[in-house]
Amino acid sequence: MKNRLLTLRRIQTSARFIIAFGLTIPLFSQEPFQHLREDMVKYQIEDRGVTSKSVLDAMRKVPRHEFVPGKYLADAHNDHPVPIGYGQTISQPYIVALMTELADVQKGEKVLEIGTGSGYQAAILSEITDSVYTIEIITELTNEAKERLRRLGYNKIVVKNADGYYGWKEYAPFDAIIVTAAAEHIPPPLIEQLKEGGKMIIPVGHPFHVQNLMMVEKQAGKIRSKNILPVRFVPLVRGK
Amino acid sequence: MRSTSLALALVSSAIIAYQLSLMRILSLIQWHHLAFMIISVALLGFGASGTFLFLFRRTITKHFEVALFIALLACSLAMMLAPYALQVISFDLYLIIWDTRQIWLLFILCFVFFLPFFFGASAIGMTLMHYAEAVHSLYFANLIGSAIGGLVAIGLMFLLHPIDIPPAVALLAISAALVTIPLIRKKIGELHIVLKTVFATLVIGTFAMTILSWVFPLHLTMSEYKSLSKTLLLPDATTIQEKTSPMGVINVVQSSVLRYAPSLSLAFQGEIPTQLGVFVDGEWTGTIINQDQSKHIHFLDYTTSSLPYKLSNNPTVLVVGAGTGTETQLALQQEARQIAGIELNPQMVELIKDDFADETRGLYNRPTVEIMTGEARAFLSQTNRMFDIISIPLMEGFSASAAGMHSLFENYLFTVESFSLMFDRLTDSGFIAATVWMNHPPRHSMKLLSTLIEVLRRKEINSPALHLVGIRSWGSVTLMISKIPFPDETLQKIKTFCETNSFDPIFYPGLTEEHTNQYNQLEHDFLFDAARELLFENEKAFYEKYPFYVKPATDDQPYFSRFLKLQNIPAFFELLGKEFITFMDWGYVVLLATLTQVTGLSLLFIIIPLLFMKRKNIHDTSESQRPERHPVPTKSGSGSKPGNPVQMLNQVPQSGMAPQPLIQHDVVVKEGIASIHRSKTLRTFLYFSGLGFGFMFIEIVLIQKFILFLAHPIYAVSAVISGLLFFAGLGSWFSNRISTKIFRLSLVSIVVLGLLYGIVLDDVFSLLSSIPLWLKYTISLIIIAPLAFLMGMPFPTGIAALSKRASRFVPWAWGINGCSSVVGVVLATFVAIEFGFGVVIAVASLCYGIVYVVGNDF
Repeated sequence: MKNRLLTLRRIQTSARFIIAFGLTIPLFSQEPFQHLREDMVKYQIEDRGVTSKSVLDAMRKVPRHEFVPGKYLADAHNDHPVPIGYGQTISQPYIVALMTELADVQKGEKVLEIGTGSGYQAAILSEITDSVYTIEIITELTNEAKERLRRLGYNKIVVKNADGYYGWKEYAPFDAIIVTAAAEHIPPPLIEQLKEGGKMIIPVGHPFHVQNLMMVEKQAGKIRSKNILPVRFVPLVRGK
Repeated sequence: MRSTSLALALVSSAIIAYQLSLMRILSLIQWHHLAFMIISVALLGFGASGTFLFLFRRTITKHFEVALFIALLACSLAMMLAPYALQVISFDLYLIIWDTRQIWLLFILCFVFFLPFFFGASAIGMTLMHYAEAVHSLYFANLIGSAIGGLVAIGLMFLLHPIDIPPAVALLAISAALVTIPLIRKKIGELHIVLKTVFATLVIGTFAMTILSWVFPLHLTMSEYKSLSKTLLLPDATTIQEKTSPMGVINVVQSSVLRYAPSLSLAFQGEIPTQLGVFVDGEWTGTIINQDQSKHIHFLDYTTSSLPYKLSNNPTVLVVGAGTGTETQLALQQEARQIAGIELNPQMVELIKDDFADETRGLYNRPTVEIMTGEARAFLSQTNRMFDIISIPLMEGFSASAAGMHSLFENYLFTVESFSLMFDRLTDSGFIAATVWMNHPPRHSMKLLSTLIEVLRRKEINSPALHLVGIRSWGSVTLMISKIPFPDETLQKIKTFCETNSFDPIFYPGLTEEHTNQYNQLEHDFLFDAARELLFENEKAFYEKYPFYVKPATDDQPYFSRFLKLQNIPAFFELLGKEFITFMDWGYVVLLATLTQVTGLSLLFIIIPLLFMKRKNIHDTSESQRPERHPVPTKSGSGSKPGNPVQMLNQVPQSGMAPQPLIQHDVVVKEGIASIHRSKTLRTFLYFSGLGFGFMFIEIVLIQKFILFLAHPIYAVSAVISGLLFFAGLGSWFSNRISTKIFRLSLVSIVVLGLLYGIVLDDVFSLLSSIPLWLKYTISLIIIAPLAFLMGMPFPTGIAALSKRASRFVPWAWGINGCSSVVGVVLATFVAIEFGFGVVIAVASLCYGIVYVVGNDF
């Protein structure tokens, strides 16, 4: 039933997109995508259990369509990742929201993002806190993201083109670290640069099908990891 | 006629070689299972050619030589040009879930690759149709050509990069066209000068294009989502070595930021050295660690794979799947006394032994290290050596594992029988240790757990729980089974190792729940529960309730990476919506999609001619009623039963009766004819589809069985297929010399031999496992020969009989056989995954049984 609703919503959002573009641009020219974002947040994010007000507000505010290549504009608010070139994607809205909520970032806290990509995740974080540092290893993506964030007014985000393996020692330690690409190992320098009590969030799987999220926590000098998504399988295994 | 046979052999070899080279190209730039889908659909060109030949049979028969030449030339052109579609069309499998444009692009790709097969098959089909009386020798040429084509392709794969193979193969097809030029010389002579020029331009142009395609080779772009593409985007990343063989294209990439530490402990605080990345067909396979950075290599100690070395002093080690040497490196670090490594891909060994010997400081050339090339199963069954540790390291990339890329692959290493062999090669204090990636909910690790427990049971170990140990990090799982119960001191070492590295125990004797799930916390520790349930409770109930298929893999169902339970798809969909695809085995999903497509299209190709037949059946009886132009061979006709509809039709002219009574416009007679046609149609369908399915099912089972015996998948596959086709060709050649009685006996023999091989081959092979390889190949050919020889008979015999009784059915029969062969391959894979190879061979026998029953009338 929920899926049917989601499908209906998707059709509705697509229709709205067409209307927004085709008919009502003069009326809503300042923010023609606002409705699409509202729907995205309501049906893809809130309905799946993300409750953090700051995260939901940020997801409503950041213009996701600005971070998506022109040819995928119609897909910008859909419930899936979108390619941004160089083998990278802008994550599915729900995954971005969930990762941000899990990172539990508070106003004034310092966040490091490894893998800037389009800059969308950094923009979401910067709606919550002023100290966002992001590193991208691919030069072209870094330059594009820098330009995009500047154009959209996210001037406080600090972007660097470098190898994320070493983190960003000058600004360490961080309250939260978000790694946006699945990795087969977690670089020790990142764990080192995580503040006591801080959280690191890493997606596990392929860019097109994140299977679960891993949360690394540093508490009392001990490092622990937690897996987040597969909880949905428990009823299946236990025979409902 | 001789030149036609030669053309047929050439185009047949071109088609097989093209198919194999295409498989390599698509596996390289996209993924293996996509290649499987595109090629399966493209091969339906055989089925479509039957429909085409049926619809245009009169024109083709009238201008046979010209039509043959055009088909062959078109085939060679299509072979050369089709790969350019991959350059032009930016298709990517990963986008297909939500980007409907990709479905259309896939459709276009399938169509483009369909063309060479369609034209090639049309050339073969029209020749069989035209010279139906000589079908035995033509089919012989077809099969021998195909046998040679398989070997040519394997040879070319050693010499050329996959992208350069299609032009070479297209040359074979052009040669086939050139061979037929003398047949149309007279007709060319009669052409207008303009047409002559066009003709010459076309022929010379095709040749020139082939040469040009070598001078200006294709620039195919690998999917940007493959590991190699992504790695090459890293700073200063360059490919420093490339090797190609039928086993894949190996790339070695250097970059100052490339580091690999699979599932490294979160407690590790040192530096991870940069390494050289090694890729096979664009997928991450491992790394070469530069020994100059040896001070950093100790990071390997902080992986779950290092557990077995912490429990043994100076062990003798066997590394199954030595790859790029990481596990060998680990064993050396842990002061292993002697290390034997077995690696399937000789070029991988060459890479470490020779090409990068300096970087690895002669890792594979050290006195304590011995690396062998071959299939691990063969080594294990031949050797008398005993090992303290038999280690199976992580063998696939992280993404590939997560995406269920390998669900279609038979993996004879991770079966109960394989682990049992390893168990036999353990010293008294020895153990087997295997490491797999952790996915959520657990699949690979769960199946490994169930497989190892099953091994302990089969070895009649009294208390299996005392012989099993398992630990996990955040990303990997290492499971171990031992010959003797793990002693207390060892268990203490395991606990310490886990605490030091922040790893969690999954199972060891005496482990309680409060000591689990501490460092890498799961919402639900499925593995801990599963180990207890499988060891102490009702394992059957566990397998039923677990949402994925995690029963032990066996040699009969060697699909370790198959996890999808078909019956669970609705529940997954309900729970996860479209995201359920995320948790599916991509390979299996593609298999099901391919099966649906090829079955649907095949039915279409088979039904279209039927519609035309139906329309003409009542009014146009000329073909079925006219006196036969060719007398029915006395041998094949002599043993037939009276009252058979096809023969009743044939008996009319033979008995000297005038055809008039049958063409009276009498309703009863019309119905009678319609019913006879229906019966004939059904029998033709059953006969030729039965042959298509039966042949492919047997071929696939034989390939699987011989892969294990011959120790090398590539050589085994080429030997089996080429041997099978060669002896089937001989059978075809011989089949026009046999009586109906012998023919029927041959069908019975196929059923008997098929079943017999299915039952006894495994035992025969295990008895002969230690004989030299050359003798294995000889024995293999001896085993294949009789069955293949018999399997080569029914098709040409059926076509010959059909051509004499209802010649217009010949192209239809050709199409049916083509379609059922394609569907047969896909269906056999599905049946093997779901029910095992035993059922595949049983179905094959059933198919030949049906052929026997309906073949009475051929």
